[in-house]
Amino acid sequence: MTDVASPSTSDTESGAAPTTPKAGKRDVWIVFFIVPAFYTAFGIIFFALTRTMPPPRPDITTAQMVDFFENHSTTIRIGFGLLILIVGGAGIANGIVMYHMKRMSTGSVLAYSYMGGMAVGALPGCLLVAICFLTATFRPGRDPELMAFLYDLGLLSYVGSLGCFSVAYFAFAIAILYDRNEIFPKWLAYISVWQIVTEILAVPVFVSRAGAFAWNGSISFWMGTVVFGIWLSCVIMFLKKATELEPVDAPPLD
Amino acid sequence: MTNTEQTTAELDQPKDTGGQRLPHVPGDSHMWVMVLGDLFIFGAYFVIFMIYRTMAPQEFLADQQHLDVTVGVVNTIVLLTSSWFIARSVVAVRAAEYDRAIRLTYLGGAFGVLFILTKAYEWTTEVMHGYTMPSGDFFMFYYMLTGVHLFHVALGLLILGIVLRELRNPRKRRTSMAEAGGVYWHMVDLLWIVIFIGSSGSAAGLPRFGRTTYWNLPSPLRSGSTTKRPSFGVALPTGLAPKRQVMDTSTSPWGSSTR
Repeated sequence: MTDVASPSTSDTESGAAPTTPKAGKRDVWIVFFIVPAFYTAFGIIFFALTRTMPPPRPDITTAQMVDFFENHSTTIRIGFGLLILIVGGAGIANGIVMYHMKRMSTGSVLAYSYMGGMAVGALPGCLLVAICFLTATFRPGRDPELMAFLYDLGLLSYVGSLGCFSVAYFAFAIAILYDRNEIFPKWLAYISVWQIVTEILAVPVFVSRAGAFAWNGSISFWMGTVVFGIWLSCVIMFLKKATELEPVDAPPLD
Repeated sequence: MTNTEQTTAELDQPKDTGGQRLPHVPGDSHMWVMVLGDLFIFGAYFVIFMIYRTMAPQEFLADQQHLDVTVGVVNTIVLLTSSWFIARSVVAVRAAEYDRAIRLTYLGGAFGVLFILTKAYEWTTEVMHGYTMPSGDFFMFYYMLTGVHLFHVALGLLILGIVLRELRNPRKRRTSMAEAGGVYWHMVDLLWIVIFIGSSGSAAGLPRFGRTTYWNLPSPLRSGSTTKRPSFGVALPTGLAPKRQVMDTSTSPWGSSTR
């Protein structure tokens, strides 16, 4: 955990005043690079392969749902098969956030809240749609009503609001605001609030089958996805910054 | 005032550089990222609302008639009063009158709680009349936009609580924190006014009182004594329908009701 990378010597060579080494820890760097790699794969799987993003229409007939699984059977099998293999990347992505949260002056409890919320949310919010769609494509001879059930269950759990994520974002925001070690900038806490707003606005997908609040709607899906994209980009950017700024000789966390 | 307070107050004052006073931006830059971003996101929600309203103007106008605008006006007054207390509180903090600032912040927060209670009453009334989220696109927007706004009010109360916590501790008092809380609270106020105009305002942009008005209903709904709404089958009460001419909304900033 405490393996070190060589600190930058450019400051001393140029004669400038010595500053805190910004190389970061090698193991933390390795874990960090898994985060953008995982989310790139996540995007390819959900957008390009499985056609889950943007989601197919919620207001189609049972026959059309069966057709959807038949038409995209190969890519769903490849995409979600791959996701089953790499979904641990979600745990690593949340783990490094937790690691830096534990470096904050706010202590560990909010970091555990973040991790707990994200871990609970990972099953319905990421993995369940994969299981549903894989079941539908690998058991194509089932009753069409069961296929429609898998279609609804998968997409409702994927896009629908999950309070555990709101708890995680709230814990993240509070931890940043009260942190005196300045691990992340304060405005990252405020934009985490936007994520809670998008979770609230995903509540009606259970009710609405068409329009802005359906699971493929402009507010429940598109606005939520854009805000998530902005938030995730900021988190990755500041995870990199936090990793850079962590002193190489910092003692391992408890 | 202690030396610590003086130092803090001095640090929060606008800087004077070379005889030229730099403009003072209230609060901190982090809060402004939140506020401007939030306004942008809400702006997108409002644009989407207006697009859906344009696609079904008659349905939206008919559903708007079921909102009690009186409660909306009360809510607006309550929130504006709350904002006024918070603005006075920030002025008091700048003048280092911390006891007064604390009292004013408490009052602002109390009116925020009153807003939540009034909104809870309004929602309860609408639900008891059978208007829930599945009642149509308008009510879906109504509950979701006011719901997200209510979340912002609750978050604002938490922020005001943090401001109070700092103001009560002489070693932690910062003008910038009180200003940041004020900036957030005024944003909540501004968002409410836009939501109120969008969801409850008449086609002419004028306030209406009571549960139902008549003159901006689309023409197919104006003629009968009791009209069944084709989409949801809810009878429109006619006792409140005034005998008056249809208002000309062609010059309204919101456009004609029959777009």
